[in-house]
Amino acid sequence: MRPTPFSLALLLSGLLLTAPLAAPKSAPLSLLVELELDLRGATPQWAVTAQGRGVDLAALDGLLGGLIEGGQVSGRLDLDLWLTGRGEQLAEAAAQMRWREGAFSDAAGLHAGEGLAGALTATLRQHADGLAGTLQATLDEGALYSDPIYLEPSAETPLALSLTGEQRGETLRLERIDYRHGTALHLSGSATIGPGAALQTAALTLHPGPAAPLYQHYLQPWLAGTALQALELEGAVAAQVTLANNALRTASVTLDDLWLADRDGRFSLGGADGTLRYQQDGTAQSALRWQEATVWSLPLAAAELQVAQQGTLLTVATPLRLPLLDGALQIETLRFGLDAEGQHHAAFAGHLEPISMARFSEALGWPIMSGELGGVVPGIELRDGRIALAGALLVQLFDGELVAHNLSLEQPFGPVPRLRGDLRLVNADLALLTRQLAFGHIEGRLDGHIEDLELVDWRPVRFNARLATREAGRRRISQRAVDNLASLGGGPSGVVSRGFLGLFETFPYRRIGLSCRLEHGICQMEGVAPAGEGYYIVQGGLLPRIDVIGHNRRVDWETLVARLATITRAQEAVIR
Amino acid sequence: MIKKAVALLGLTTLLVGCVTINIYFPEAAAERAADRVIRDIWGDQPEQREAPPAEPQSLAPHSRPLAGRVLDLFIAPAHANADINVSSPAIERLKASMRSRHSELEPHYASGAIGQTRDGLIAVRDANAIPLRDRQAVNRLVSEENSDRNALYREIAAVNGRPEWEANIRSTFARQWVENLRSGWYYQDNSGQWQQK
Repeated sequence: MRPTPFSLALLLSGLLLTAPLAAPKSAPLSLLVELELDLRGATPQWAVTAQGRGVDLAALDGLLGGLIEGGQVSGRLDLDLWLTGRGEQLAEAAAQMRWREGAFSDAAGLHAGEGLAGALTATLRQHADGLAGTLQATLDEGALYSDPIYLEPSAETPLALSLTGEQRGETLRLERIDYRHGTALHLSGSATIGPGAALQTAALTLHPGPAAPLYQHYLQPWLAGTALQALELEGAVAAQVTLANNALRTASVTLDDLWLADRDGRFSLGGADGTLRYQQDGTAQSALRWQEATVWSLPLAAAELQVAQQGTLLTVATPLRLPLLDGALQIETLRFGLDAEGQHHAAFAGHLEPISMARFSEALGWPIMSGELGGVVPGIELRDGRIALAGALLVQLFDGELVAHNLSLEQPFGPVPRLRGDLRLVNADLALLTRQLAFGHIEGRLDGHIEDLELVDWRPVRFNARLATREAGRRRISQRAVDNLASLGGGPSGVVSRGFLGLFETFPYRRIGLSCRLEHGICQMEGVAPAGEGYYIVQGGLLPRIDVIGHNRRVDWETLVARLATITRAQEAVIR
Repeated sequence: MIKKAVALLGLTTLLVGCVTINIYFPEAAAERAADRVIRDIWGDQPEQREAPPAEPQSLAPHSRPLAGRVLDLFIAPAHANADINVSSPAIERLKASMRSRHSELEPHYASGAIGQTRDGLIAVRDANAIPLRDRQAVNRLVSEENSDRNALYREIAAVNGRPEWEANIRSTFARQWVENLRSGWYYQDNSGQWQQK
């Protein structure tokens, strides 16, 4: 359709010229424009008012040659414009707009909106060195995406942005920035933008507000693929940041009774309070308290941390005692961050006040064990998402000692955490062990090692283990334990109890031992000594002599674990 | 044939003494392994299950002459390296996670919104092809998939006792994802340009 020509009427009164300019309603751009020209002074003064109702923004966009390069804008616009000026200079301007059925998109689709409705009010005024202005914009309908943030403004939770600023030369000073997302978030501050859109200074305050919507709308999208990607949150957060020359200068985050839990149950923090502070090239003090916390399923009791920041290094004030189950982690040194070369750096020294193994194994959902876990941790190394422990962890286990060396943990919160280490068991009491594992009854003392242990996703994929009894002291094995050892090796169960040997409750033995080298899901088994083609798992002693001989040297690990589970389950059902 | 050659090599080693045997990255085996994993995740063709490795290899070292036994020690690791092992609990877990995510990603592969990158990952190539309200969720899917893929490459290298192979395994996978691509889906060529299969 060809738009009908504009109509023009001139009104002359003295030297004041008024020209209403109207396009027909049917045209895509239906604007009513009124021009007022005062030619009485040396430089002519002018005023323009324009009014449009239901202006087709797509057509206007086409007319203006594209507001977004390669993208598109559309919708209906009601607008009122008022401009005054003198000669070639704009003196004052004001605009009021209402946008409906609005949509926009950039070329890549990384910033886009659909079904938007909102309002915009703006003023602009000329001063001696430049322009000053205000802007208020609200969106109360539709969907907005700005990679990776997605928001759905509504009448209940509108998005409102308000700016006051002035331009002098090439510098834009925003004296007041105010952004509200309904009642969920309120951000305010100021900024200075220099030539080339460089952020010279900025100070922003996040007013105290609920942590959950802040996380859901503004933080979570950035955290996809990290350990913090799925959190449940309660409590309040406030923050302040200042920036200078495009870099963070100071930051502080205040937590107010924050409750945080990983949806996969890997960690949680409850009742957290405190303020975390950062200062570029400076020192800052942070304090963090919590009422309760868990790592995996280990509970940490209430604690308070004081952290000193110096450049890129954080030092935790020590000594610090973190109660853990019925023991505690006593920390003498804890420092981490980036060193001068930008490498990860961590220093740790501390020890573990004994934790009862019963509580520890119960918390991790393991079979309940007796004994105590403790040890000295002289150092921790942190590199490429890998935590390595220098020194040894000592576990008082079954009246013996289990020493863990070379422990390291990779990607602790990644999709497949990997734990490595070497374990040595010294002089454990088999009577205690077998009773706890419901494996029948064996008396004796046990030594052994598990070297090159590698757990992936907390399941063993590789190790070289050997466990054997000492040839000293009282050594007896119950018939049930013999049966169990036999069926563990793949033999028939109940051989002993059914036969003549079933008359004896226990048997003396010379030695018991089993080794397993696990690789590619296969356990390569050996016993205490070769026995013809097979190997002794139990080598009998005095009469009645009983030997358990294994013949299967390659056993599927999963099968072995399943067998062990069956044995301990079956035994638990037996009423003693 | 290969076995014979390796055995000969082993024998030579025994005779000569200190000779280093370099085991190069088994490209062909890695391609086959990658194909198996990809088909398992994308469910293209009937699942080709690996033969269970549990059965003993009827080794009876005691009945063999000494030389044979020593030779076995040489052959065993070399032979093991001629194949790429892609089964471990962690790999199974990663595959299961990627398999369940695939049904969500598939329509976006088909629409051209997401493509396979040349470094064995995926990326959004045309956000406009994704409904606005789904863009954030698709971003999350892409991050999660890439995190799983990175873990998969690292894990396969680790399971084979060759952490230094991670980069080789990644580039093998990068090629095989494209090889297994359905027509119409997008991938990055060597210069990083998007191409449609």
